Amino acid sequence: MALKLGASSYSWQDEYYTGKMSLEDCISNLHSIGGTGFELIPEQMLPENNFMKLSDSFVDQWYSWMDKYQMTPTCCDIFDDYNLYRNRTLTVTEQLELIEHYLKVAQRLGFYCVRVLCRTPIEVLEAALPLGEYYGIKLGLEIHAPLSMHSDWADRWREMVAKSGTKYAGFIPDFGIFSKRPYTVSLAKAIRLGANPQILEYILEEYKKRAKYFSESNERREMLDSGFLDSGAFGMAEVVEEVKRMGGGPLEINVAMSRYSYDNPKWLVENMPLLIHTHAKFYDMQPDGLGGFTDPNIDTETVVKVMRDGGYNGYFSSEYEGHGYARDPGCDYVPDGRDQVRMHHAMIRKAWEEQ
Amino acid sequence: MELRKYVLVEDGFCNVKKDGETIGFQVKMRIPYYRGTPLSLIGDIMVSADGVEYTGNCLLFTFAGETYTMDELTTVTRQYWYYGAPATITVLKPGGLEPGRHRIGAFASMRISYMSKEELTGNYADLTLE
Repeated sequence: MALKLGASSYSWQDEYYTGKMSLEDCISNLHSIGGTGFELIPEQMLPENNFMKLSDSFVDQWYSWMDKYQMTPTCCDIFDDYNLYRNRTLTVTEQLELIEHYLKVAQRLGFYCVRVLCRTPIEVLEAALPLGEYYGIKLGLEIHAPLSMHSDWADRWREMVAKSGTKYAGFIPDFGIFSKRPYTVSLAKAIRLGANPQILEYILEEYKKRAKYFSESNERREMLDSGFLDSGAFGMAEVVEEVKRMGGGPLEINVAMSRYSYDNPKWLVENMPLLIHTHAKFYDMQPDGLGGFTDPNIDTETVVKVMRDGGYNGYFSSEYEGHGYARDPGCDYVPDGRDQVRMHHAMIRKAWEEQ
Repeated sequence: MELRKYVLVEDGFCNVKKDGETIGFQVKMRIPYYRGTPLSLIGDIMVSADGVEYTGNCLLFTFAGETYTMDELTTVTRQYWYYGAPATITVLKPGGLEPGRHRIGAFASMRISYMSKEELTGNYADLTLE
């Protein structure tokens, strides 16, 4: 199996936001570093009203870029703005209409899969399964931290997909579920804003204990309740209590309650037939001291090897999330998504090629 | 409030005249999020000038050629605030601001379905009114 490398438009979000890069610049940059798969957040970079109504001229332009830069459209990211109105939540039918709209956009632009947000209600997911079949586009439910491959939530989707018999549904793991530690960039930002480094050190150690415990145990996690993404499902809620006793406030609590968790990468093997695509989330590429690069935050190298040995046939789609930790006015470091993705790809290539 | 660089756009700060009278001032700002959303997902907008904060009825939001009050924004579900594209916020303040340097802030909160909180997010800059 050959390695397939791509990246998400998310990786160049600040460069685009501030007008330094256009959509074409993102695609050409990815091509220039050897990437062949482009993932798009449609409401992020489709020009003007094209998310609502694709124009023929834009669609022509898109395919001319795909040809020129030898790029494959991989994944189109679906969102679920179910709170569109202030006075009520969208009905299941309305949420399905929204999903169908994204599928039409994805189909016209040639994407073969979509990312379905992990917070999408279970009854909407079930009703969406036939749409994937109809449009011939795979629905990839995102496993986003602190959700786990080993959870009742993931089981529900596995059962639904198996029962339907569809080949157009599976998972997209977000590599935040392989977080080795509270993120370096998150701690650096908290310290700039005045957090207590000793409390952060305590959070770091407690996180590492839980990462080790959860990755080695077969404990199933209950994650079907609606608050699961913010509830410290990774056992960090008790850490927050101690942080408060230590005198910590919102800055430290925010670090303790971040959306990170650690699943054992080996669990990917049993899910291999369902793995459609990846969000190779990362935060902070650094020299590894051996002439290459590594992100100390995410266990990407292990994941890449497990997936390679398991016969994974999809893309590693780099998703750089470091920008968001460098926007506080006191931060003089300006991340460059182009450099970050280049180093991330170099790391993945090296991991893929070595034993 | 969360401070986040690049939300306030540094050009476009000016007084606004209507029928020969200065009715207020304008600033430009970008969506404080990583994608565009329908305008109805805007929770609140706050503009500040030299420490005075303006919200609600004294603001108008202009995007893609249309101008809305804050109340009207709540039903605008088919117009997206394009990612990175500046919206113009008019602060209705008879007489506007005096020429010279001002400490300007622009903040918006977004109602994002999977986020736990809705927080005014933006930044300040010292801008000059010609």
